[in-house]
Amino acid sequence: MFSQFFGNYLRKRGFITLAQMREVLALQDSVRVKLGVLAIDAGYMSAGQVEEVHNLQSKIDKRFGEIAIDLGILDQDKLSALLGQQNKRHLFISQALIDKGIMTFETFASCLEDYKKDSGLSEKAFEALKANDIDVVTQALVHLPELGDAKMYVDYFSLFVRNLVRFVDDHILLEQAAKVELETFDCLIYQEIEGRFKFFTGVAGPEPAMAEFASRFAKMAVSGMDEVARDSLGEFMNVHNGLYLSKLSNEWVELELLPPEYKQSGSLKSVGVAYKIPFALSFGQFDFYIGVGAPVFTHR
Amino acid sequence: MARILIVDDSIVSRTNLKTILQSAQHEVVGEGVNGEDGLEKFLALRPDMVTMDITMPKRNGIECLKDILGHDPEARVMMISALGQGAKILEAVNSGARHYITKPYEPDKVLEAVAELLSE
Repeated sequence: MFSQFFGNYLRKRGFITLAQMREVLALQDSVRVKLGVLAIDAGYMSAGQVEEVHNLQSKIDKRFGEIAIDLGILDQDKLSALLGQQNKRHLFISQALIDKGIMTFETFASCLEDYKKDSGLSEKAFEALKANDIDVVTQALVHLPELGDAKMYVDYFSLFVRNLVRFVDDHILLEQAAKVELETFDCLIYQEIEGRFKFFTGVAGPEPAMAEFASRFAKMAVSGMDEVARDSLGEFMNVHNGLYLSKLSNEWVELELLPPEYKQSGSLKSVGVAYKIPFALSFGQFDFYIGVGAPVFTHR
Repeated sequence: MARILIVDDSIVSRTNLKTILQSAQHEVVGEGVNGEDGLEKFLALRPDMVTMDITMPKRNGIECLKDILGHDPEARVMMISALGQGAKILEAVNSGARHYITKPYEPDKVLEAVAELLSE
């Protein structure tokens, strides 16, 4: 996450171009090391154990390390050692920018200091961003003050980001949440949740990006927003919201999912408070929507 | 190896489940795309077991389960749902479903559940 955020900051300030940012992020991917690989490399886990934890991650809203500890495969000391290695990942973008001659050490150091100030993040949140701690970063960046139970909705969004990482793409860039009343969209998948809390959430984006999102989630080829693509987006919402409801159910809050719905070329008007959180993945720009009540749709 | 009918409105879900079942040499004899279609296919194909999604248009999975059991009280039906649908799963089990699994699918768990149901 740090690379996307810092890279975008450098781009906005004119230090690097979009093409350079993409090049550097691609280079970073080539040296990306995930916790499972680090655990195998350290001899702490077998490939089978890593696979088992990955499978459980799609069922339980817990992190890789937490599940491995629950299963008795890792202990806290081993996990800390692995995280220590993984948390150095944020250095890759820095190294790549310098190695490619895009920035000098001095410019880099100065930009990093500026970014710390301009991001508005606390010291703790900035460290969390470098450590790829999604929960802390989303809580620091995403503010939904006018929703009834703001913390609950921020927690919901944290889970949404984690599910994007799990199922779709881990190149995520978040922007500030903005309150909205009337929004137009190209393609939108949304789902309503009923019970003690009644709210809706959805994802909108241009057709090519939404089709790629769908294809990645389904692991199937799609042709534009065809039947498979529309169905895949609905399944993503079912899986994501199902994980959230399952988590709430453990806290004795029972909610019900309505079937997801796909809309094209329309506008969304909120009847209650609603927010939009723009986010970018490696293949496109999207808007996440969350609001209380049920929205009203109009076809353009 | 069993003859299995998949009833699910999601083409992605049906495709994934079919791949898992076929990997264990089960024969997917048909696919129903909603509760009404599911009952029709069950009556026409008489499979060894049915996998039944809960949330579907027209007649939902629980209604289709009851329809099937109305025609064949011995029918073996395994329910499928997203996580967080505990109340509906309970309703389905109380209505006669023999087993249930949750999405997203874990192939080993699916095949284990199918084997368990078929051995009853």
